Amino acid sequence: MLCQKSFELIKQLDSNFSNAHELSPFNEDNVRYTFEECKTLFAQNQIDVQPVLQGDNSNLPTIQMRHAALQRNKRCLLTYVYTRMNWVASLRFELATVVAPKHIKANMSDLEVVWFQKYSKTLANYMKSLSQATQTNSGYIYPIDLTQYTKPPKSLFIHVRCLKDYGEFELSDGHTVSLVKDSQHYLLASDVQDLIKQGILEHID
Amino acid sequence: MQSDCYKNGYFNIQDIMASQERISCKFEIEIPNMGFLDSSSHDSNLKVGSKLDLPYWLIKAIYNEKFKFVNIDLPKWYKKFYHDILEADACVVDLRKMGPYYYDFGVLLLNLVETDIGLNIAKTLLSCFRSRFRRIMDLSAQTDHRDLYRAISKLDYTETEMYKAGQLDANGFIRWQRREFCKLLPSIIVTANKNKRKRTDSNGD
Amino acid sequence: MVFIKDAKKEFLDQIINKRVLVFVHLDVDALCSWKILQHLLHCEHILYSVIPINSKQALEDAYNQHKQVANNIILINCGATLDLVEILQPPEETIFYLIDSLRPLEVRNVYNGIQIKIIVLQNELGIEQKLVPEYEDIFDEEEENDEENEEEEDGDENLDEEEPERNRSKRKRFDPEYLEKMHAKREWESKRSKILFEYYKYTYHRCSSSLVLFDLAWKSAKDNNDLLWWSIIGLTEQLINCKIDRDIYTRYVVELNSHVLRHNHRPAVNALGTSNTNPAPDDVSINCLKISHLDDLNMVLLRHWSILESIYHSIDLACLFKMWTNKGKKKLNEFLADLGLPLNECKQKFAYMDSSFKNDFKMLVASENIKEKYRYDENFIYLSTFIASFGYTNKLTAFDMAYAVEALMENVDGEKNLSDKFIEALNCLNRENLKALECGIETAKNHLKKIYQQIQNFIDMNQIVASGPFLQVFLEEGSNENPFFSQIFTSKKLARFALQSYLALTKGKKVRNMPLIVCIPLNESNTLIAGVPPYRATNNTENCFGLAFDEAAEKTKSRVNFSYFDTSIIEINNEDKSKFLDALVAVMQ
Repeated sequence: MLCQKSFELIKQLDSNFSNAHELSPFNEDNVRYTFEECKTLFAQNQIDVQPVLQGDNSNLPTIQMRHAALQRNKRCLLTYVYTRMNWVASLRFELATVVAPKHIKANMSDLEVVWFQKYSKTLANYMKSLSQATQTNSGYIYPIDLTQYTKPPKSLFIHVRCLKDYGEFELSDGHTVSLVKDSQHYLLASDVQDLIKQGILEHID
Repeated sequence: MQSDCYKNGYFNIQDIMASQERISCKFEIEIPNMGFLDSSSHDSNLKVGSKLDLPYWLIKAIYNEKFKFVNIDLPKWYKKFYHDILEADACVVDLRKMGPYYYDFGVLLLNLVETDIGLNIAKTLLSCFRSRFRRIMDLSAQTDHRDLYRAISKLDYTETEMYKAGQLDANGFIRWQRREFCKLLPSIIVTANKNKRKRTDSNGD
Repeated sequence: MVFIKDAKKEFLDQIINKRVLVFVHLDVDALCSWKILQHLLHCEHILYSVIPINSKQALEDAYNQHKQVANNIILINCGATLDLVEILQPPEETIFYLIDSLRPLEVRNVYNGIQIKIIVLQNELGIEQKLVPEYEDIFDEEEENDEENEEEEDGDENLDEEEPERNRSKRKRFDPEYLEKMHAKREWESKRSKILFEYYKYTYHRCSSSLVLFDLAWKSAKDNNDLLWWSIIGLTEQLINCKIDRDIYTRYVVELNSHVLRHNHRPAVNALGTSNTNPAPDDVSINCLKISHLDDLNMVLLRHWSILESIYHSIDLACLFKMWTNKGKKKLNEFLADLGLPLNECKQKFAYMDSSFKNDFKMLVASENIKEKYRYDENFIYLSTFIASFGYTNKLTAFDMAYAVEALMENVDGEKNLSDKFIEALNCLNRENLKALECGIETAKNHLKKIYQQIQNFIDMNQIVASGPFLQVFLEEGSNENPFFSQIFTSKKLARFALQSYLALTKGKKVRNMPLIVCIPLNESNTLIAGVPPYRATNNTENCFGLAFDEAAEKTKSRVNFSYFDTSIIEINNEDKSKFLDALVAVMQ
């Protein structure tokens, strides 16, 4: 059956993102197979289109069907790559890290990894340019971080509990906190937001 | 995730899945070199009168109202018999059995059929949706989806998405009432995969 | 002396803009104090790290892990009885703030003005200072220098230096002035050891830490109804665990009542002085906390149980009626009949009883003929406490909350580490978390039932025996409940219940003044021994077992571990148990 493998890619996407919120490994095999299929179909069409140019329309349905298959493959592939790309981009905001965690990175293809790095860099440049615009007369630049405060903050300081051993963590005023499992601290919300998002700290009321 | 505006068209996964649904059709002409589509015949060409179940996107490409080299047989879920059932009582019908993408596929079918049949299908879809919608709204306001498993299993994909959105809002309202909106949460990637992570970590150690 | 005179200036103002490390002991009073302190720290946005601890080893470990975090360390209900500077070896800039109800304070802590500061109630400052022995009686400056010289073996001194000193001392031995000085020194030393012995002989408790912190909050004008409620719970816990006497408790209740009246004042008439046509008793929101004073019945968790169960599990009433015997059960039924309560009503939950019976019950219990017939007095059956109401739920007394929080802390079901229990117990103290509160009360009921069952076993099998100057009871090895009974406060509760029940059932005069120890096997190699003082009407809170255990252990060179801050609970190796107990008998006679 035509376009089976590309459809499998889409099915995989659907089950992953709607239920598991996790990236599955990049399905190199299916993608390559689809490329091959497209090449074959295109080559076949090139042959069959010659009589049509000379006025013989008997091959027309065949060409149309093959063309439909080609377009379907293209759509599936593009959707696969596009959806994964969006997910990787949102990773930067969801986990607020510049480096993707190991278990997620293992599932990304090399190009996706490079893309993520470039995206982070672009985002950083953008944020820097926004910060520059806030420069006051005295030269103070207010750093803007778009990945922080995705929800309006309710308090300046929060009480957190450590869920995993993290080690030493440096606060914005230079002091260090040792984040041992099950220790509780009262810290500036802006410092610890990233760690809460990553699941290392837990916010306690 | 980002870029929702792109999601409702070309890159829409739901649309791709719905257009993969199969329609039974009969070929009126012979199509050269497409014999591989018919698994029962060994001919390289598609014979006249061969009946196949082909996916929607393929049919759409070769369907032509004027020349009709393919005769479409509407899937039984959209025929008059089921129209009557749906008119009688739409709420008890198991739409998931009737194709998980009942509504989406029904809308796509309208492109392939004549106007009057299409109008009937459209009217049925609308009235069915209208009568079932009330029930979905009530179901989504209840907060525990485990109790409602039987009721939810009869919903098709569109309705399930609506149900989930309703659930999310109901839970959000309860959290607001309990003043839990102050609490910073870890990202959904972390919570959805917390248990999986524990297992792989313990395996790795 | 190191007692802080003005807590606001010398404590709160010192830690503003600084980071603080807080160690909280796992008991109800400390938890309530922590909630109050947390409120104060939040007001000033003081960053902190808080760590719950259970034992001395935990304190040491936690300190080593976190010591670089802060130079200001607050210890609640732990550490005041230990020589902190020596055990923890802190750097010089570190300052410890101690808030502790356990006495006697370690003298080295009291006289270390540089690094240690102790916070007590302002109006008790004089009394606290008098309780500690005078500086001159314990520390001799010259003596200290000599001692230091002799103790230095780090190799700083050359061997040559020691030689001339010995020669010097040899020469001095025959000098009459020197002999007089030595004689005076020996007298001073014997006086000193006597003073220290008297000072450390009994361990007891003074004002609860939550009350100290509430006082501080009040003086800084940051107090509110919630803080008041927590300090009431902290005080209540001290009575439950027999840390303070009834009259001291009553005194503090009166003091707190003045605060309660101040915070919970409801004007009966409106501002114009005319009464309302529709008298609305509360013109504040239903969700606000309202506290009021109440003379409640001395029946544990009455509002959450039936009357029958509540009487069964209250120590005083169970011992009055001798509930473990059939005769006792009959007497109880007679008592209820005299009060006019049908038995099936008594078996129903108190909240669902007929309201006429409920009201009659409270009054009739105090009527004269009942009191005479069953031989108890007003103080026995009534207990002065506070009751809180908020939202649409049932009212809660301070005792209910104290039992619930303690039950959550001493819960051994489900493997929870210290931190989980700490957070659960704190959740229970939050008013908004009704689920945690219900869970706590259910757990408390289970615990009380288990203790009652164990006491029944003790009595049925005559396991409480008098051995020498004290009573002894052993728990069986391998029982499922042993981990539960080896929790700090549960073991003491068990011991007290056992003591009272034994006294109720035996008639000997000699046993009236005997203390009791309970031995609970921990695992194959260790046993936990907890001791409680004899049961007296007044002054039954001074515990002499700390010193007694220490002496017995030294005499027999047993492997004993004073792991908890309360020195009357020890862990001992099973092999040394019998010789230790024999030595203990000898020491206490």
